[in-house]
Amino acid sequence: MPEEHTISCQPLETGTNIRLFLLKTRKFKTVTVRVFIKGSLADHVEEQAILPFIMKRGSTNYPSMASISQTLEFLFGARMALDNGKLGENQVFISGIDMVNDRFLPSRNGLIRNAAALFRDVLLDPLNEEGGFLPDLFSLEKKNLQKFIASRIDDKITYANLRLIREMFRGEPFGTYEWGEPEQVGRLDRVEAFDYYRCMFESRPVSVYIMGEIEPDEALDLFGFLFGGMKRTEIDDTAPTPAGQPGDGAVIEEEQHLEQSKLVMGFHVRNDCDDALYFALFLYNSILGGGSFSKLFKNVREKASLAYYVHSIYDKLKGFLRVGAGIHRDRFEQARSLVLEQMDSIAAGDISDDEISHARKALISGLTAVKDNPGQLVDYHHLAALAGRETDVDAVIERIGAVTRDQLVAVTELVSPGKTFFLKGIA
Amino acid sequence: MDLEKIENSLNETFLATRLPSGLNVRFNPKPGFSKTIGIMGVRFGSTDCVIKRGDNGDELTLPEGTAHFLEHKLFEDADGDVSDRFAANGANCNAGTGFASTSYMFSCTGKVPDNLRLLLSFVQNPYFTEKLVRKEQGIIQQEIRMYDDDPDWIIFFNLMKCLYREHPVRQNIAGTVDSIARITPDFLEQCYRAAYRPGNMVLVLVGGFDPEEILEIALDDASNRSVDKLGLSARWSAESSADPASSEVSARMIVARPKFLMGFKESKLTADMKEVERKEIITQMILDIIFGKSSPWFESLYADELVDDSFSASCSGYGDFGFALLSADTDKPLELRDRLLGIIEEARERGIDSDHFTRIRNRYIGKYVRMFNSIESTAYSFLECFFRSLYPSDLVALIDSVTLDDLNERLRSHFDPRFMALSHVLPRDDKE
Repeated sequence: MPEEHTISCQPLETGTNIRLFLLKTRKFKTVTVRVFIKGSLADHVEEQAILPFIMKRGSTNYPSMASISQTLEFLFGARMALDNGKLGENQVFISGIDMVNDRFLPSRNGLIRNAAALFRDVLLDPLNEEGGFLPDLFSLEKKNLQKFIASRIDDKITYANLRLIREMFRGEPFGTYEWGEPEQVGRLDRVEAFDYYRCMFESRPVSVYIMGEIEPDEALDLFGFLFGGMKRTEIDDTAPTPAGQPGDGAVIEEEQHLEQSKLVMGFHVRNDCDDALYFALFLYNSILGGGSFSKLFKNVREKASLAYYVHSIYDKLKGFLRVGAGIHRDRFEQARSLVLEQMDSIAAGDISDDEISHARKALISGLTAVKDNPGQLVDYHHLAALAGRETDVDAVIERIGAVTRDQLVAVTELVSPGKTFFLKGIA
Repeated sequence: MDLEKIENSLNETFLATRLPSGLNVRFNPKPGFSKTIGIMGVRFGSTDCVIKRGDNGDELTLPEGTAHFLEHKLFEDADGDVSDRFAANGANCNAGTGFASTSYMFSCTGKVPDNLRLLLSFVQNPYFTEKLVRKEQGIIQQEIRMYDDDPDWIIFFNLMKCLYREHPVRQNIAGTVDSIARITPDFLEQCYRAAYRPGNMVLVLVGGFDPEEILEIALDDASNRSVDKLGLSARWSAESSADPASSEVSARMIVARPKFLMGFKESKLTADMKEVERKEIITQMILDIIFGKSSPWFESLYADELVDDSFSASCSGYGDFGFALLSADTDKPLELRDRLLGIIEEARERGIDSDHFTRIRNRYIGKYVRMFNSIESTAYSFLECFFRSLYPSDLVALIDSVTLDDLNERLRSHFDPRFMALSHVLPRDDKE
């Protein structure tokens, strides 16, 4: 059954300015619909961040959390997602529903259509009155969003990462926290927020992905059912331009009463390069800190016994590389210079064949495995489309396979210091 | 040797056998999938803190964190780090230590036979030296310190110390900085011999592989291992008293708001592991019905600003211990405690709503079908089911066997305030 091995992402013409993609496969036991709306980190951040909080509370036909959840339970545990994410310079409204394909259930019962009806209502008809969200509901969810933002401090790794991003991209849209700031949330108005909600659904770029054992005409039918009644104007795709300010590796330090200190080093990466170098950067990151085979793991953890976790993460949309490690407070200098040493060694071409081949295999294996995971597969296609580069998984694998040692050395020229954040533990 | 086919309604191939060495085998080949996960699971976890050693059977008490230390240490042998050899095959490997088991896992999209040989070899050929043990102490020390700063970890183990007087579930899985300093190669060796026997282990493979070829490799490996007739090892015995050791504990950490964790200690323990699974399904159904997002009670707690999306309700069952947990970030922990206890009392008097029970049962069946979408979830389900003498395909029948009376009986016996304890993490006063 060769069709099961390749899942192509097929664009379907909808006759609207909403982009629809079908991933047809018999591999999974579920049907998945994901809807992404591209907002901007430059404005209306809090208005967009509060939408998942508001929309999960209910819609005209499902007027409470309980009625939404009861319906999901009845639909054999269908799952609905409402979320807000930062993808490059974009603030993305993320939503979706997935349900068990009813051929695996005791009785076939129009599950897909019923789940779609719930999803449509939640997305397109949230509870509202007099041109705004409901007053009590809105003020409670403002508080909940504020509490959610405040809870950043509970997870020290997340907190340190967010602090680094804020310092390194100060004044840029990317430096903005995608859930907003508590004070701004406090100033949100239920009518203005509802206006933003309408404007987002009417004019921002929308992409819809449908995946499962579904034919193109069924997918178009489902799309029509979901969004046929949606009013759309011209697409407003004003994207903020990144400032691309150079950094100097300056260290910002904060003290907290902690047992373990967190070191986070940020680097700017110029990712407007040609495709060959663009994909070489993936491999560069993997060699540096992409797993137990990486230079960071081998040298900072295994040789120097300095850290339990040490890794590097590369954001291909933004062109941002981050090295993180949990260390003892007195080992800051030692750990930082060990990290820089590893980066220098790649720049000097001091990369063993094993280091390259292990990192390459790990990357390729990770990409291949994406094809086996329904959630990851859709998100992968959406992200690759946003990046505007090759979207086909197998073609990307081929690209990674072709990266040379010279290209790995060449990309180190594209990496420059941003800022370093040290969350220092004190007794 | 033939693999036994396990019937199921999911169009899946479930295969099982026991090798001559005693090693148990579970396969779920999935044509069309590129990825394969292989797991070796050992019935030895952090609560197995006393082992019988040698032939005379005298007992040895292990330092806190030994099972976890052993898990770390198996990754290295005379030829260096095993992860390198997996990486050379394009595979990823990992391991985890729980209360009652330890598991070693690889995932790959090719070279399954090579990766399997590697897994079988590194888990079954230990190599402990003074120098390597010392190096690992530095790494695990940082791991422990990371957990020490994690409020969710602290609040959980503080609760276990409230619920239990002497059972080793009170102990930190990773141990303490002091306890791991006492671990020696000799401890690891003795522990390994007692627990890492083929009869005490299971091999699970799920994904895109050829079961006949893989069975050959496992058989070949088994022929080099001594035959283990002991089967699964014995466990710590349950505590004599069902009452919690203390009723409340609190710690201060750098958190935005108070964290709240309410626990109910299991009072009806059984060694019948199928019954443990069934009880866990029943308990989780009760929690979902009373405290899930579809519950009017949850909606009232939410509207009164006592809980938000951080609220969760879960349970865990084992043969010798178990608990149900209600967890939340809340500004009003005392009010929340009173309301939760009030809701439980009301539910105990009123009984569970039968329509809601039907909906929840639907959801559990859907959840079960969905699980087989994911190679990871499927593999870990085989592992857990093995330790409970089940196959994942038995789960639907178990869900089906649950009745409304089961829920009401369990609600009254388990959610008794007598068995309850509370753990809090409060914000430090001097936080910035």
